[in-house]
Parts: sequence; C-alpha cells; structure tokens
Amino acid sequence: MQHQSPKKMVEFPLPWSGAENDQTDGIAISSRIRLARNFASTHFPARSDAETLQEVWDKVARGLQSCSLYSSAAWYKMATLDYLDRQVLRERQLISAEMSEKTDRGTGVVVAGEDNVSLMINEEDHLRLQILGHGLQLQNIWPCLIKTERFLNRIFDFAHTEKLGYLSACPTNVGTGLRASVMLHVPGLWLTGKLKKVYNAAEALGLSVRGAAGEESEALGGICQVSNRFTLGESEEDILKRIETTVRRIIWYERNAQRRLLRKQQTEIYDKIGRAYGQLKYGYTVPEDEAVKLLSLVRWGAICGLFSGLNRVNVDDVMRRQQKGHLQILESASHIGREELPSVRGTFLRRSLRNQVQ
Amino acid sequence: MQCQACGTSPAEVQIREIRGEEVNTLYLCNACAENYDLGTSSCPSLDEPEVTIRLSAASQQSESPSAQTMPPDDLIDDLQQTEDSEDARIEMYECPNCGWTEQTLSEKKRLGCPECYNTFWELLAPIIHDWHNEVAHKGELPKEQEGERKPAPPPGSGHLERELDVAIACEDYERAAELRDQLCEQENTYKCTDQRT
Ligand SMILES: [Zn+2]
Ligand SMILES: [Zn+2]
Repeated sequence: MQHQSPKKMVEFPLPWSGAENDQTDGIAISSRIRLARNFASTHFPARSDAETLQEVWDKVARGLQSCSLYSSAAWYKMATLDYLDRQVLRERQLISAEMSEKTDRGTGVVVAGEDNVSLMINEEDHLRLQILGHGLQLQNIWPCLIKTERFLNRIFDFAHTEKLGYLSACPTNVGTGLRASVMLHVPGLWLTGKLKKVYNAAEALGLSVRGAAGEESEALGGICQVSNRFTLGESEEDILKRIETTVRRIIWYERNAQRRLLRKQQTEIYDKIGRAYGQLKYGYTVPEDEAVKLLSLVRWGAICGLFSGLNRVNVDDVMRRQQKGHLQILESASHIGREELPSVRGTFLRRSLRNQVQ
Repeated sequence: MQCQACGTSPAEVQIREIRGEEVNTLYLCNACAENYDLGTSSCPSLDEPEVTIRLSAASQQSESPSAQTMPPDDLIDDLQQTEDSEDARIEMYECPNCGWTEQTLSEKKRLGCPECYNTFWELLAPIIHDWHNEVAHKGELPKEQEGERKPAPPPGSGHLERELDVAIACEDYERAAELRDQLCEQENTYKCTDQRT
C-alpha cells in the first residue's frame, strides 16, 4: 500500500490486528523484529553532516530500486512531515520515538509490504530494517526480514568485524543488531499484581519488559512488551527462540491467572469489566491512559464473550483509533489543543461503542 | 555487584538455570530471589530447567562491579566515570577517522563511526562484555563466499532520475529542485559533446 501521506493510513486497520492463526487467545498482540546496519565507510548519523545524511539517503534510494519488496514502497522524509504525520507513523510502530523528533535532511522512513515493513534511514544507525506481524510469530516474520537484509548486504558494504558482528552507533546493539519484541495483553497478571514478578523473572533471563509506549513507560492495563537486551554472542535464531520460549511461559502464567480469577472472583471481575465498558460508553472526557486501561478490561471481556457484537478485533480497532494522532485525524480535530483531546476521545468512544453493541 | 532483577539492592544469591546446553546465571538480592519462580515448580515440565541456587555469590563476583542491568545511557556514563577517576594516566584518545573523542563519546552516548570501535576498544570492551555477557559474535555476517558481491548501483546511469523520483514521492521539493538542476546540467553536457562531434 502506498499512501501519499501517513495521515491516509489512519483509515486502515493495523496490518497486525488480525485474529487468524492466533493460538494465544489474544494474549500475544503483535511481534516485531528490527535489524540495525551501518555503511562501512560512512560516519554514523550522529557524526554526519546534512550532506552525508543526504548521500546515505540517495544510496538507499538507488539500492532499493531493484528490491522487489520495496518496489511500491512509500518514502517519507522527516523534514516534510508535520506533527500528525509523525504521530501516526509512531502510533503504527513504523518509526521510533527518536525518529519522530528528527528533522535532519536525508532522514526518513520507507514503508512497504502491507504497511508492516519499514526501513528507517539515518535514525541512530544508517539503517533500521523492521517487520511487524500479529500475535506471536517471531519465527514467521524473520525469514522475510533476513531476506531483505541479505539483499541489501549483497549490494552494500555494511560495517562489521568477525568478532563483533555488525557495528552499531551504540555498543548495546552491536553483533546481530537485532531487537525483537512481542506485545502482550496480560490483564490477569495485571489484576493479580503479578506483573512485577514477571518483569523481574524475564529480566533475570536477559529480556526486558516494558510498557507499550516504549522505554520508560509502564504497562498500562497489563499491556507490555518483552524484548531481548543482548544482541551479541547469540545467533539471531537463538535470540528469537529464547524470547518465544519466555513469552510462551508468560502466556501460560497469564492463562492460569485468568482461570484462577474467573473461578474465584468471577462476579468481581465481570463487575470491573462491565463498569469499564460503562465508563467508555457513557463517559465524556477520557484521557488516553485511562482509555487504554478501560479498553484493556473490555478487551478481556470481549475475549470471554461478555458482549454480544463486540469481539477482540473490534476492541483492538477502537484502541488504535483512540490514540491521539489517529483520533485527531479521524475526528477532523487536527487543530485542537492538547486539553481538548479527552473530550474528543470521549465523543469518539461513546459513538464507537454505541455502534458496535446492540 | 547489584541485583540483576531490581538493580538497587546488592546481589546475594546466585541462581543457575540449566536447560540442556543452555546455562543462565542470575545474581539476585534476597527479596528478588524469593520472587523468582519463572521456570520452577509451576512450569510445564517440558522446559523445566534444572536450577541451582547458591548464596552469597556477590562476594565471588566483586571483581566486575559494573553494569549488567544498567540502561544503555548509564553504560557510557560509567565510562566517563572511569575516565574521570583515572584521568591522571589516560590521555584523551581521538578517533583518527571521525575525530570523535572520549568526551564526545560520553556526551552523545554514541560512537562516531565504525573505526571508533578500534580507537576506543579498551574503553568499550568491558562495557560490551558487561552488557552482552559475551564478546564473540555468533550470528549472520556478509556472505563473501557466495561469489562476488554485486556492486551497488553506481552513481551515474540513471541514478539521478531515481533519486528525483524518490524526492518527489516524499515531497522533498528542495532536493527535487537540486536534482533537476543536476539533470539539466548533465543533459547540457551531453548536448555540448554532441555538437562537438
Ligand atoms: Zn533485587
Ligand atoms: Zn570514529
């Protein structure tokens, strides 16, 4: 899909929002893998002037010309994007927070595939190749990513050494340059206060767990992502396997927590979910973090079949549309102030829950 | 050494998880060790690891006081501290390729170029070792043996047109104008040569 502007993307469901082949009862939301690569004979972006950044961009533009995956890609330069364009790319996980702040020449992103493949140019590293998929499928999306990397590797000379693997601008990414993460929805562990325990245990296994919004964020409504910390000393496949094993175990814990809650405190849980639903359906001003917490409960309710006419995919879609960038575009409210957002969101939520449930 | 789970209390317990070939060693404080149960009794027996727990591992590990759980930024802060405390004998390195110094390194928290890995290796090695626990790469590398590397499309032969397409596609009109000028120039040069022949 080639959108003229990122703003045009907001109408489309997230390419990883499907429910096909989901064997995790909706607990695993999405999977993401990225690879960092740098050109051998060029300074890293932080040390490059505008001209060099532009040269890198041009080099990539030429190189991708013959790559089938990118033949109908959309190219976006950060300097030409306004706040809402950036916000939408960020909310759809196509660029990082760091990238969304950049305005340098030659800095931008190429979006390909079903808007699930992206290539950031001149972020922290020259290239950040990324692929997204729904549910838990690190192993399934990896071949496509590495195929693209190998294509680029044949035409470009990437900085590497035998011992350290691929060289990155930050030593924490050196080696494989691979960071993989799985986004999880674990309301059971959240409500039983076990999240911290999972955090610690996963961290002790060399993985990090953080909120959906990245780095320092908390796991709002039990939505968190698990990713690898180390990129060196382990092969790509082993890193992916290790994350997947731990994620499967967390899913197993979550299923147990859910079962236990529904066995012992079903009324209290259904009451919580029902009230969350009521707040969303009848509230007038809803800040984003509150919306996420409430929608998280409603999502669980939908998975349990509590609402006729409202399934998990519907809730995920509401979750996507209520994010501030998407919301402002969809509600034709691009020029409103930050303080008006909660009421715009309230209106949107009332309407969308009314439409979806009889 | 700090606890690998909370990062605040000193580590007092060593836990080794052994799954076949794979060994994970953790250093935890008492509180975190009590909470540690991922992979133990309540787990599916299939991948249940063999777990050994040893108390007071901290003292045995005291030689590496640094950063197994530090976030990336702290790594290079750590580097700066080392430098500060030993500045009497360390002279300022500068990367011959990009001119990055230890100071820029600690300010920007990033390396300047691939060559920086050589220049600052003595400083980076312990950091890389602590962060990744390993200093040997075990993954993909460029496949040199698979015959000759396909050369990147050379600047020349139509590359300006391609870059112009991309510039227009992403509405970078400033760049598009530049490229159009270059294309015109190129065409004029051809015309000149044509006339001469
Ligand atoms: Zn601790
Ligand atoms: Zn350098």
